[in-house]
Amino acid sequence: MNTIELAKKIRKDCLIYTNKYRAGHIGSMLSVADILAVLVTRMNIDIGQPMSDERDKFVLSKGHAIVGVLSALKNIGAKIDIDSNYKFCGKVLKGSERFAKYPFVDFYSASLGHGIGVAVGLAMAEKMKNEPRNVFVIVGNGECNEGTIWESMLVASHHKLDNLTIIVDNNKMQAMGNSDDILKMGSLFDKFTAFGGSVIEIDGHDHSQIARALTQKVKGAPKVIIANTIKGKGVHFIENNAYYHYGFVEDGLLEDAIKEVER
Amino acid sequence: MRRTFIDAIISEAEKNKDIVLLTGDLGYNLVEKFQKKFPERYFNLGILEQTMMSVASGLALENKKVFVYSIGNFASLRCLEQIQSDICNLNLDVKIISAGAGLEYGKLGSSHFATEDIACVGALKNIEVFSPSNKEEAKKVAERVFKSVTPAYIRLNKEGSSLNGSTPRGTLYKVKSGENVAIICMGRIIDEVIKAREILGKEGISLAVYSCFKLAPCNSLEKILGKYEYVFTLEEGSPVGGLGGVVNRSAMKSPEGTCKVVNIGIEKNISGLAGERDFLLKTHKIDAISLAKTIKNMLKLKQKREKYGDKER
Repeated sequence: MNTIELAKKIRKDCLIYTNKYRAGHIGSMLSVADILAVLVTRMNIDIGQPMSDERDKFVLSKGHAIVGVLSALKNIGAKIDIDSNYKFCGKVLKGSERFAKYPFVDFYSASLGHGIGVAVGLAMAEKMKNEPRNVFVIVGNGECNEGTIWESMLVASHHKLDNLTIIVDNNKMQAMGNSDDILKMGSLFDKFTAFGGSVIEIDGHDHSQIARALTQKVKGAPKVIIANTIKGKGVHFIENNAYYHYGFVEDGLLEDAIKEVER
Repeated sequence: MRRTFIDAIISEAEKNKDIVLLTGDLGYNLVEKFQKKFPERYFNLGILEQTMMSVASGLALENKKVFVYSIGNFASLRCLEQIQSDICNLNLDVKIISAGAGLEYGKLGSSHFATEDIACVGALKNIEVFSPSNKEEAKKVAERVFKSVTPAYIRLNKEGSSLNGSTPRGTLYKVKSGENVAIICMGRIIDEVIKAREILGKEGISLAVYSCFKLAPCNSLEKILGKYEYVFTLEEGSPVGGLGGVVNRSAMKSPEGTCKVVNIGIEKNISGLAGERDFLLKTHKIDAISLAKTIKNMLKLKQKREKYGDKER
């Protein structure tokens, strides 16, 4: 399956599961779908060996998009029951807690600003090995409000963790609306550069740009990919609509939404 | 006591190559020995306790045994959510060493009074909370945490108790004998208790003293509650959620149900104060003289009630 098809499947799964369980965060899932589709196919993992430690590590810092990750992994052959994500907490998805350990997902949390720190720990541990693996962490632009993101960046730069890749899903929105209206962050490119990252800015829906950024070599510094995205990408009425941060697509609109992402 | 503990980590790290030590830029003239011996396993991450706990989580996810060093509040309250989400919820092998128990860093003011750390960290799941009173207890804690693969919070004073020279038997054990009345205490504050016991002895009150260095109910606690009419608890911190809370809950469950429990501790620390620990113990009424007074008054009240019954009330 090519990554374009995989991204369609991820978007469809996210629409279906959030609808099925009346759970939120469809906007965040759709904005990161293309990044996930390319990333899971580029990561150095053996899909048949989920227990192996000899693989790249993955952290989802914007944990509310976990269903997108589960769908991506499932669609490339991992044994994952997406329903289990919801069933652990009855019928409502919190999406924010580690209810169970999923294969290939080393850490995820939707208490924001935790992911880079944990990924730094993973990358440091990998650096102690003879053959260090890569560590990938996806963070949201909204969570860049958190001071811990910047603390963690300093540690990553100071320790020259060039096996760490931080991907910012920069959809320019957050829980209550447009990021610029809530807390102006200025240029994320400049900020991550100032904090010692080797920064690449791309269109986060362009698969060849994502792939190129992921394979680009950096030395002596953590790699930061600012992926400019659209929140809710793929379904016109979800795009840039703050309602769908917490929302899901109701039954009456679901069919149309699925058709639109499959197009 | 702190040095004893760090030395124990150093000798364990010779055997266990997975041990890593993180510090939040603290431990001057203490952690350097570890740094010299194992430079590749020592990281002074800088002054960023929240990130330090997340990094500890990442290292532990990669099967490292992580020791994290910082001071009281900074190793607990400052980064409580990281300890909760990144360490305790995942039940990871991270041991937090918290220096400056209670009022030890009192000269630096109330920002450095570590009086709510145990209450807050103790409420988290999967984490064992230790607060040893002397070197012997600290060694026992070290042995336990070297073996365990789950989170621990270890509250350490610079110096251990000078009056409790006994070797611990279990995590709760008798240090001094007494009749009818007992006190269970946690940490170096036991020195004040032993001094208070002498004062009370002169007035005919025989106080049994127990030391407890792990915050958890245990069999010996139930035995103590069945044996004495009055049991006092004492800690250099908040009894809400601390040792007092643990003993109260056990007392409520106790089938005999006759033992009266009185909690002594720092219910609310006094802001705006700074000074030597001894001065602060006095102002918070947990020094030997205040303790003797509190215990004596409580027993007097009891005698009065026995004599006059409900009429007095």
